[in-house]
Amino acid sequence: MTEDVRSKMIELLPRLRKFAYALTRSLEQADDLVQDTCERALARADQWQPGTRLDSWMYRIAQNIWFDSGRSAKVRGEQASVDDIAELEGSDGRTVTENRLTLASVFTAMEQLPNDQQVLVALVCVDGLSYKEAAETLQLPIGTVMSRLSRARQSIATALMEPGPAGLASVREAHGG
Amino acid sequence: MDKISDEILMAYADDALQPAEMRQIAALVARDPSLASRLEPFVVTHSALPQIFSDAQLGPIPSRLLDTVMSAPIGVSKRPAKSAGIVDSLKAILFPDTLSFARTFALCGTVLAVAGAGWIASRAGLQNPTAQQLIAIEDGKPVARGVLARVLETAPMLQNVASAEGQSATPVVTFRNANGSICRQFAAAQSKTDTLSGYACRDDAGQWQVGFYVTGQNSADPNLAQENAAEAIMPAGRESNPDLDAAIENVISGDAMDGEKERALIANGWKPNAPEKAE
Repeated sequence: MTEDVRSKMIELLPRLRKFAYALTRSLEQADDLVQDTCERALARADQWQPGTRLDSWMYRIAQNIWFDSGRSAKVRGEQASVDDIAELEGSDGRTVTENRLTLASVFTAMEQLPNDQQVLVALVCVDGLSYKEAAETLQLPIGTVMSRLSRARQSIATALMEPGPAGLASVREAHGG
Repeated sequence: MDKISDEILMAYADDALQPAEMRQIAALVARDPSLASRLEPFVVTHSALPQIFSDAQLGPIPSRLLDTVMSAPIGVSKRPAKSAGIVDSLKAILFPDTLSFARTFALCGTVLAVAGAGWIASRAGLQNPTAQQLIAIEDGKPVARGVLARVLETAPMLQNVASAEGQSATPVVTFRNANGSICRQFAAAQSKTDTLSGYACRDDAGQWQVGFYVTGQNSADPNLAQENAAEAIMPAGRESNPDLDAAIENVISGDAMDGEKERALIANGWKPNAPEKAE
């Protein structure tokens, strides 16, 4: 059964990394968080009930590590070194600069969200869970999940749709200071 | 009609409503511009966020994560001793009951391929003595090493894993050979520019014996190669290499495994605990 947990975890790695990337918005921090999450999950493997969802359990562990560690607060403001982010595959012909600005404004907008809204964006918009699955993962009512998620997405969309001078200014502020 | 809530518009953008509701909202949005502009943030985030936080952005899985999962201490420890395998593959090769023409041809092909691979591997070793080779020669036979060995042993198909040294490997297809041994086709990168693709079969000792492989060059421009590494490796293994295809065709028995069967075997250390369903 223990080997079963390990192989299930390996299968989950791609999804865990995306979830962690959405929370940390840093490629390196994301992999560090995944590593810490796997270590803690294995150390507490007896708390996981086979037959229940391993992904939900590990997402809860990851989010606790990230928001409890203080690392989430520490990276705010110094975060989003967009230079080392791979270019978005641009079939729409947008330039690299515009893509980087878009990324930077999305990262900044996500940073400013409350923690629970960041997690919901990561679960539903990035990982693709249904509202119901997200509600079960976070042990919240589905109505709460939907209202928080809709507010979070309105904030991100504002940043996405207006990446002009305001977006640029906020990025400079975030990086330069 | 009641005011349409943001939550309903979001669910519409996410295609999460019942078909009848989807049609109803579509009709309302079509004739109400203010509703359409309230819908836009949800449509935009629905399409943009998965692109921003995508597998392509993350690149291959670092091998340190694989190592952590495989070796980090587990809370409840009750690891049973590994039991010996049951397939005596050597005997099957040396004393086959009947040899059809195709079988004979397949065996000869395998032997030739292994001999050739050994020669190439030893040459590669001479050329690049510093980096750990993904294929080493042991007892005259090529065996998977490093990140390639770990990926073959633990990763599900199409999971791309990279080591800190910039080597990477992806299992492409899992199948059984005529002896019943597990074999996996792989695509790997020995370095930023040197690619490997081939197949290896797991022996009773848990070693992945490479049956055949071909080497290739990713790109002469190291910057380009680095940028393309993640994308290049995955499809590369699926691009058909006629020699590799022929080598696998010669040894495969039955069809390639589906993901479910493969997962069950990985979870069980590649030992079947229940008879596999006959095809």
